[in-house]
Amino acid sequence: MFLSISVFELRYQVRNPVFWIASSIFFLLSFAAATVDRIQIGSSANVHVNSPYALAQINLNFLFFFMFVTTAFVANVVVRDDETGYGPIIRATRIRKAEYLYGRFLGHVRHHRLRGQRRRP
Amino acid sequence: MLTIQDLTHTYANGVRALDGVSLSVPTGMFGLLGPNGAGKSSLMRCVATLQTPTSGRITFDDIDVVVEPERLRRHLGYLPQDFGVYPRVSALDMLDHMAILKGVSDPSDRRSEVERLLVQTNLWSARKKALAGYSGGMRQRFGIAQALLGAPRLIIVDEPTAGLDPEERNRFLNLLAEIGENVVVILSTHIVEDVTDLCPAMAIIASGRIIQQGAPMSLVRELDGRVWVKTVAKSELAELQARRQVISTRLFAGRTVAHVLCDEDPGEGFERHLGTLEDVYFSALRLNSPR
Repeated sequence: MFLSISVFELRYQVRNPVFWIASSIFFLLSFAAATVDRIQIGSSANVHVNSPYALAQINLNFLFFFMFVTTAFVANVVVRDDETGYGPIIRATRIRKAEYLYGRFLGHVRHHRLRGQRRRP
Repeated sequence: MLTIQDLTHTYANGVRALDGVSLSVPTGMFGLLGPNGAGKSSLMRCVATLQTPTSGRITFDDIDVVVEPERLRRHLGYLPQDFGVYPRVSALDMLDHMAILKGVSDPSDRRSEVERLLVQTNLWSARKKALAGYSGGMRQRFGIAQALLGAPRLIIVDEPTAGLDPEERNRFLNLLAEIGENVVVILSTHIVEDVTDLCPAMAIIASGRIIQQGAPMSLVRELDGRVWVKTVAKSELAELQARRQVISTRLFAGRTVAHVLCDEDPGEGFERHLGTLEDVYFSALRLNSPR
């Protein structure tokens, strides 16, 4: 049950247009940082773009900004049922709160890894 | 069998939505009839374990619903009054997900049950469309499909036909009629015909109290010979209402037809009317309204 909930959540979030927009922005940023000389995140004229230092800097910067994006996605778990009005139907089923929320959370963890993969330079 | 004893619910803002409701609901279709704001939805929500009543007992077979809501939820199908759906999710995916939440864990069982319900509710051809794009009637049919998942023994449908066009309403009532006779189905509605069409047992609720209950046929029979009708002009109506017990007035081709409750022939051109459930409903409301 737990796994099935997380799979549903993953599929639900992958269909979310915000996911595609956010991941393309971050993908383009990291791509640009690695290929366009004038965009520098972490690397500089004296540091290789693929040096460990530059990669660590890029990851750090993107992680920081991506925290906000992640919050926006994960908050959706809690508010979605009341926002859409589907909540009463869910709450009348036998599912327990912990199973449901953590199942969804697991879906988001997997989803987050998906997003992370597009971010890596 | 569902038994409700002396159920009272007061909301945080002081509104007393339910005031000592006692009901016993046998298996089969049970109609709960009442005007808007009578407490139907509050009662339905209490039985569906969504809110804990202030006081009173609800038991379903051997389950004490207030104490062990989780046990009831295993046997419950609930269609709320108005519900939204998740965006970008198809009926097929949502039903499959609901089946998981309702504990149908075997994948092949789940698939066959979901497919059977999609066919039964006539949503098969639209199963891959997003629910958010469904019309009101289709959404309501999806609602009953999810309520029927997992072989529930208690099905609660809260005002399912409000806002449906006549054809969709018919289709929906037919769906309800197909539900087996061995489960308890509570249908709350403010539309008298829904009850007339479907329910062998019913209750009328107003201002949080049950004001009448029984079988529709016998309730109608009790009124037999006591309902009289007359077409009156609008100007006579006020005077008639002062003198007689007018239970309802309705317009027919632009003229007012008054239904009057009277034990013997009132004369004055009144004609005897074969009572209908609507007369039962209006007379119950009329006799119990605080004046």
